Amino acid sequence: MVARLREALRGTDERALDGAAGPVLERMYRPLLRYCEALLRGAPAARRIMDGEDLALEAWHKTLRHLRGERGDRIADPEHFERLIRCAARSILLDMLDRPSTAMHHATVEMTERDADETSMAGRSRDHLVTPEAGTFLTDRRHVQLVEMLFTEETRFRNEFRQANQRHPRHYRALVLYELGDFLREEAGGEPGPGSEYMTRMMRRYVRLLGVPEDDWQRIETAALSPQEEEESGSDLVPALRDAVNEVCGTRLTGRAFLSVLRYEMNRFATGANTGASSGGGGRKQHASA
Amino acid sequence: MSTPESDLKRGLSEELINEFLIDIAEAPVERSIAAAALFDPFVRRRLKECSRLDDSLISEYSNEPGDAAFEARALGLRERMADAARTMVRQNAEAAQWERERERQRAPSPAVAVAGVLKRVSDPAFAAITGLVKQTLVLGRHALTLPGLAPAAAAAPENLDMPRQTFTTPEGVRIEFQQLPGATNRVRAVVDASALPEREERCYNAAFLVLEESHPTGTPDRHVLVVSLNDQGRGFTDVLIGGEGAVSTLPTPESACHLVGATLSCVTSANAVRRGDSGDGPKPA
Repeated sequence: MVARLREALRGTDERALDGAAGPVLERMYRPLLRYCEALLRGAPAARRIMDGEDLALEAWHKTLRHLRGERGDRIADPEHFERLIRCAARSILLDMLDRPSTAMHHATVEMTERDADETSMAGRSRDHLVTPEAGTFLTDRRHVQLVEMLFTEETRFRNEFRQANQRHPRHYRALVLYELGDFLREEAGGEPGPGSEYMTRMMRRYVRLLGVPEDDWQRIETAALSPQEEEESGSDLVPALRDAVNEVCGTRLTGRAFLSVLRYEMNRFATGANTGASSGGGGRKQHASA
Repeated sequence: MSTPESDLKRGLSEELINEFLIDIAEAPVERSIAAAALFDPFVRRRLKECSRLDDSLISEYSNEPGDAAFEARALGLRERMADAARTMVRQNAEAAQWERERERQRAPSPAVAVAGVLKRVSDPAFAAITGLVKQTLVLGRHALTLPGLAPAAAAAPENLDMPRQTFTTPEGVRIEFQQLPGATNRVRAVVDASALPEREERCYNAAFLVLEESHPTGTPDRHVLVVSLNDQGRGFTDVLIGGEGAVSTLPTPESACHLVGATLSCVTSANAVRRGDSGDGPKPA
């Protein structure tokens, strides 16, 4: 059904299009309208600008453009198509709420949550200048790519960042997992709620994509979300989290100083710096063929 | 007021984010968006809101008929959705038309057509020439009896006063062979396609006249006279009979020569007849 519609949308035959679009329309015109009207019921500011039919039509149009485009081949079945059109409707609504002219009249929970998120992240950024944290360590695309390579292509990581007295990649993995756990603890620890559920779910998805075994992450997540114990003397890390990471990675993280060294080295890998190394000249290895 | 795009969000289009949300993104895209969903405030809020809204409203996505007012609105929407899809297809057609027009404008303009004689044209070369043909004229087969082309069959030169042979095709194209005065070995081939409908639209700038000379071996020699046409569709080529090397020369016919074909073409700089395929080729007129 969807493949037929996609082909018709890429062609020029209106009759073929009518034949292909008919069954899709029949299946979704009512649910889509009902869904869009429900979306607008929770957003009075947007409802002043458009009604459910307008929102549905815009979502339909956006989805057809996606389907017709080069990424449209990924949409394989009616379920994808329906999920996509609901996504489009939500995106249109959220875009509208983001516009200052709309948002200034808008006082619903969406704005409150947005402000909370952005304040939280902004605060995190400022803290990073003094004490680097996962939140900002991973807001740089170069760091994200480095972390992906560390977890998914260890051999390549070792070859590209070969150093004298080379440190085993598990130490860098321990750093990343500790920081991810610490980030999760700050964002989702404490009282459970929709925000913490979202963070927990999204973090699970991310670490799964990095190839971290589910059991390993489960151990770290449990430690991160458990109520904080009293700090041990001589250690400035979260004890339960530190122990879980050490157990999973086979390392002996002890304190923040060691994490700072690892982070410094990772920064050098990410930025390609290759002078003044504290641990034997890091930096991306220059390939003659590059 | 615009917000500077965050480092993580850069390169993540809404389409990619939507693919992530419905679980059809490729692994690298999914990883990038998952990282952004955790650490980029904008993407994080957007995805969180999207998830929250879908969780709370998915039950509304139902195909149950509603009351009369709802049904009226829904049917109106259905029509508008069908129209929107048709509009996209119409846009495709317009885009295709525009693209064709652009291609046409980008295509090399008709070159100054070549003129001369392609002697003893081989089959592959003839096929190449045929590939240039835009219109084949209905002609039949006509013996050419001008002194230059058929010395043995021609009347005595002294009786000739600018002899000519004229053929007019059903399409209205006139083809004429003239024996030029002063020498029996000079012949002019004239083509007048000015009366041909749609000549300008088709940009004809060359006519190919195919001559066949019977040969004792049974396989006739085939020569092609290329006549360059002007903007009015008229043109001529002078041919020197009895030469081998030079362009616009034709070997002295040893037996009867026939006009067996005439075609019109639009020769461009990209597809101009090349030397080599046919032995001696023509030069630009």
